[in-house]
This record gives sequence, structure tokens and C-alpha cells, in this order.
Amino acid sequence: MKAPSLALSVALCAACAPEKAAVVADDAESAARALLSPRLFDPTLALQARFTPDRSPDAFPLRMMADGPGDLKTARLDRLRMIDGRAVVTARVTLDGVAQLFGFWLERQEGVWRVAGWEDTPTPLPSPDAPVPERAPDPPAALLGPFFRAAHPVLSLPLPTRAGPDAGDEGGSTPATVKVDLKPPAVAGDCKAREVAASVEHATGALTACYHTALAGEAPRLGRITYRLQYNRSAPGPRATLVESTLLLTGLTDCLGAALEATRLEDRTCQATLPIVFIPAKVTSR
Amino acid sequence: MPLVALLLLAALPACRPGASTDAQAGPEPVLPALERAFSAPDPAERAARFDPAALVAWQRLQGDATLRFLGVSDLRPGPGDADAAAATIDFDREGWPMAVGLTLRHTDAGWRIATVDADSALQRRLSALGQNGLPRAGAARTWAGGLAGRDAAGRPTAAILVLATPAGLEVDGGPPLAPTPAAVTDALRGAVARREALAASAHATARIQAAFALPRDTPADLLPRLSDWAREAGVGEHLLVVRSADGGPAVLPLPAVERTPSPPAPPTGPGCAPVSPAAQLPLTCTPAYAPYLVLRATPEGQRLEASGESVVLGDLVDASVPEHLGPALAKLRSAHPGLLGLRVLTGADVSHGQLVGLLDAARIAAPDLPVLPEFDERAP
Repeated sequence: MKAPSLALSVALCAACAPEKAAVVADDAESAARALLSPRLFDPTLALQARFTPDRSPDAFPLRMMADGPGDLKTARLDRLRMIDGRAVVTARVTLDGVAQLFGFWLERQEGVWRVAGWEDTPTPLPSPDAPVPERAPDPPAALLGPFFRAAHPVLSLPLPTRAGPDAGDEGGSTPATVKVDLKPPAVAGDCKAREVAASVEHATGALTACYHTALAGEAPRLGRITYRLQYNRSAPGPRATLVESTLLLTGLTDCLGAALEATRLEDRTCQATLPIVFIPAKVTSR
Repeated sequence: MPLVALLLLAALPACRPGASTDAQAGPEPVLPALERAFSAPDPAERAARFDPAALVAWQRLQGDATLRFLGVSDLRPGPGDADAAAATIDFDREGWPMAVGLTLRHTDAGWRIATVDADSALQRRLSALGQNGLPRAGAARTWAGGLAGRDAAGRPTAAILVLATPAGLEVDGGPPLAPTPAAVTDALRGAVARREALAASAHATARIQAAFALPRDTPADLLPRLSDWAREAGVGEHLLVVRSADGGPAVLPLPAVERTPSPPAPPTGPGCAPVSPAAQLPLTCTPAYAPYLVLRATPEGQRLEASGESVVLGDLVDASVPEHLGPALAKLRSAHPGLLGLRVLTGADVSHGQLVGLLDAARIAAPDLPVLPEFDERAP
């Protein structure tokens, strides 16, 4: 009877002993405090229990920067935040006489809080006694993935620019400082060049307005933009793809493309290449 | 045998899962004490962890509502005292995440909550969930955000939260601002810059939105004004924060406005058919075509218009009833194909609660139709 009991007790002790350092705290705060102690310099194998399996204690910056417990003065917990189930710790440490803030976070795995990540660069502090700000800083970038994925989808509604021409008054209020020259399109497929030209001619006012909007007060300039228009029987209008542009104006090509896509040419499947030349009034008058 | 048993008994506590040599070595941790103060099953145990004044403040904050403890979101040393700590705890009321600040002090009996900071900002957020707070909308989508720009997990929300309160407009839970374009666009630009910096540090692309939370009694013209200011600040996608049917956080997405230099081209269809396969649109079609349904207040009541045809819906209450709005929308949409959206023109004489009723009804009647509230320049 004695032998098995003794064996059991030895086994139990062996199971819980494998280095005292393997016994880790069951609350995040204690786990963080324990790490900010001389135990941080325990042998790697003993310290691994405080880290998730994918994180090595040897890569932990505080361990790398300090040669031993003597180098790490006044390591204390400055702030503990819970973000998305993780405990994010801001530690105030003094290394080589320089006070700095160092961030790392813990995850609860198998019932134990373990170090799961850290910020690569500590933030220097003006003085070791600088007050802890009341408002918490933003979470570490590494924990922000879900934040960027959380946007709700919204519909969109095209509205004419308020300062632009009124409905039915195509280009009426646009200053006549540019001429939009629609060059004869090169066509391949089931449509004629004159059909395409007649169809896109309806967009002249919109194209002019696009140009003026994109200029945003700058002096008009000469430029050529070429679009490929893909017509398909199943769609009333073409799909416009930019081929080349000599005008670099923010939003211009999107606006022109939308205006061309709003034109109509039905029952056709073909492709047209349409050069559009914007000629400022000065150049025209030459 | 007794010796072995004693050895076992001595060894076992140290082997208990979660046994903490760390916890015993350092100062008494605050976190477990604080969690027990809010989540212990025994009310007497919870109360015992509060100073009397703090307990009264917490109970007053609760009022009649049920506040569910979510966790400790922030813990830091107390101001200038090793035996003090400051904390923020998160709780939820009807699904809305809220936060309250506390201070703690260490006594012989352990950590006790010394003060509960039921500050005015928190009161304003709680009152936004009261009787005259945010309106309800049954067709709204559930939302994970809160009224201070953070979700229940402590992350900033993708949407910048603009909350209208009697004290002013709060952006992401910041101090109240005057409802002026300059103040609001500045704050929004700051919020955008913060999110963009976070996105850059995370090597991600931020899809930034603005979420407007307005109490029901607010004049309805504030929403289109805020939308304009947000667009000016570079935020083009907007959400309207409301309460779902069960009171929880929800949003009605508002359409993003794409400014085009000219009105959208008329569609083909009855009355607008191309005269030939060459498809030059008949000129007679263009002037009659209007790409939007417009709902505006007129002396006879709410008038829903499309390309010259109109349906009078009586007063706003009638227009907010899906059974009334639905058939009118369906009739005009079938008579005028190619309609792009519904523009709701509102003025200061309409309340935000009434406007939300209308947006909700439109969403029930035509979920695919973008519905845009706009300020009616002609409104009184």
C-alpha cells in the first residue's frame, strides 16, 4: 500500500514541480506582474510556460535588452487593459537609466494567462515619474484586425454636383473655356463607328463638366484621354476602361468613365476605342 | 500511510489549477477583487466591496435598468498613492456598451471601491437610451458599436460616432462641441486621421464611416447637415444609429452620395425607348425624366413625387407607416423604371424621430432603394 501511495505523491509533486516558474498566475494582473520581476530572467525552458507556444521568451524585448535583473530597474505595471479578450499591459521600465513604456499582451490559453505578443519598440518617457495619462492610448496595431473589418456595407446614390449644371441644362453653366473633341472611335464587332459616336456625343456636356470639376480652379490644359468602350447585348450601356491619359487630375478619369457608361447603345456587342481631346479655349483660338 | 497522506495534502494545494505563486509574491492584485465586486453571485459580497458613498452612486447609476457587467477595461495606479488604483469598467445596458470610471483603495480587508464616477458624459449617454433618446427602427441592422466610439470588446469602432446631446455634439465620446461646421469637421478630421494612422500601423486599409446618433426630439434637419459636414471632412459613408425593436444597438445605413457633374442619364423603358437600334435617346424623353423619387412636405401633406407624377400620403405619420408608403413607392417605381433612389427633403419643423419612422418604413417597403435625407432649402 505504501509504495503506490508514495509513487503517486512523487508523481503529483513532479507534475506540479517542473520548476516553480511554470506555476503561473490565474489572473492577468498577477501574470503581468510576475513577468515584470527577476523571474523574467529565469532559464528559457522554465519561462516558456508564461508564453504561448508560438512565442519564445528569448525574443521578448525586455529580456533581450537587459543582461540580467540588475539592469532592469523599476519595472512596474502602469496600465492593464482588456481588449478583445486579451490583457494589454503597459509596463514602465528603466533600462540603462532611461525610463520607457513597453507594451505586451497576454492571452488566456488552457486556463492560464500567457504572453502572446508585444510591441517591438518601447516609448521613451520624459522622466521616470511622468504621470499615467487618464485616457488610455489606442490599442496596439496588432490587435486591430477586427476593427478594420467591421464596417457596414452602404448603398450609393449618384447626385448631380450642386454647383454644376441643372438637370436638362447640359453644360449650361460650365464656362466655355474648353472644347471636348470626340475623335472618331475605332470599332471592332457588331456596331458602326457613327453609332458609337452619336451615342457618346450625348455625354459631351458631362465630359466638359468632369473636366472643369477636376481642374478645381487650375488653368485649363490640353490633354488626351482614351477609353475602351465594351458594349454587350445584355447591358444598355458600355463598360468604360481607361486606356491612356495625358491629364493627371484627381477624379477626372473616374468621372469621365461614369459619364461614358451612362450613354446608351442597345442590342450591340462590340468594342470601341474612343480618344477624347480636351482643348482649352486659348489653344482653340490659335 | 498517514505521513504519505499528509505529504499529499500538503502538495495538492500547490498543484491546484490556477494556484498562484506569483499572486502571493507581489502586492494583492486589484483585478480579481474588482471583478468580484461586480460579478460575485451574492449581492452582499458585492456590496461589501464598495465604500457606502460609492455603492449609492453605483445604485443610482443603475436606476431601474439592468446593467450587465462586461469586465474591467482599464486598470492603472491611483493618483499619487501606492494604496490606490483607478479603473474603468465596462457594462452593457440593453446591449449598448458603456463605461464608468472608478477609484479603489487598499484596506486591511482588501481592495474596496472608493468612488464611482457617474460623470455627466456617462449620464448623457444613458439618457440617449431613455424615453426621449434614440428612436427605434424595426428594420435596422444590429450593430456592435457603442455611444463612445468603442465596442464591447474595447476596440475603437470603424465608424466615428457622433452623438447629439443637449450639451452639444460628442465625437467618439469626446467633450461636447458646438454644432457648427468648423467644430464638427475639425473633430471628424481628427478622428479620421487617428483611424488612418491605426490602419497604417496595422498595414490595413481603413474603411471609415460616420455614425450619427440623434435623440428623437432633435430637429430632422440636423442629420443632413451632419452628413454634409462629414463629407466635407472626407467621410463619405454614413450610418444612422438607432435602437432595434428590442432596444439594442442598430443602424440604418444611409446611401453614400456620389457627386456627378451631370444628372444620371435616363434609362430606357416605357416613354424613353430608343427610336432606333442606334440608340440616340429621343430628346423628348430627357426633360421628363427625373432619376429620383422625392418625398417632401407640402400644405396637403407628404407628397411622394417621381417625374411629374405624385402621390399624397397625408401627414408624416401616414408616410411613416409601411402599409401606406409601400404601395405608393411600388406604384411610382413601376411607372418610372430606373429610379435611383428616394430623396427625403426635411426641415427643422420635423423631428428626427419622425424622420427615422419614415426611413424605417421605406426600408421595410423597398430594402434595395437608397433613401437619402436632405435639407429642404424651401422648408420654413
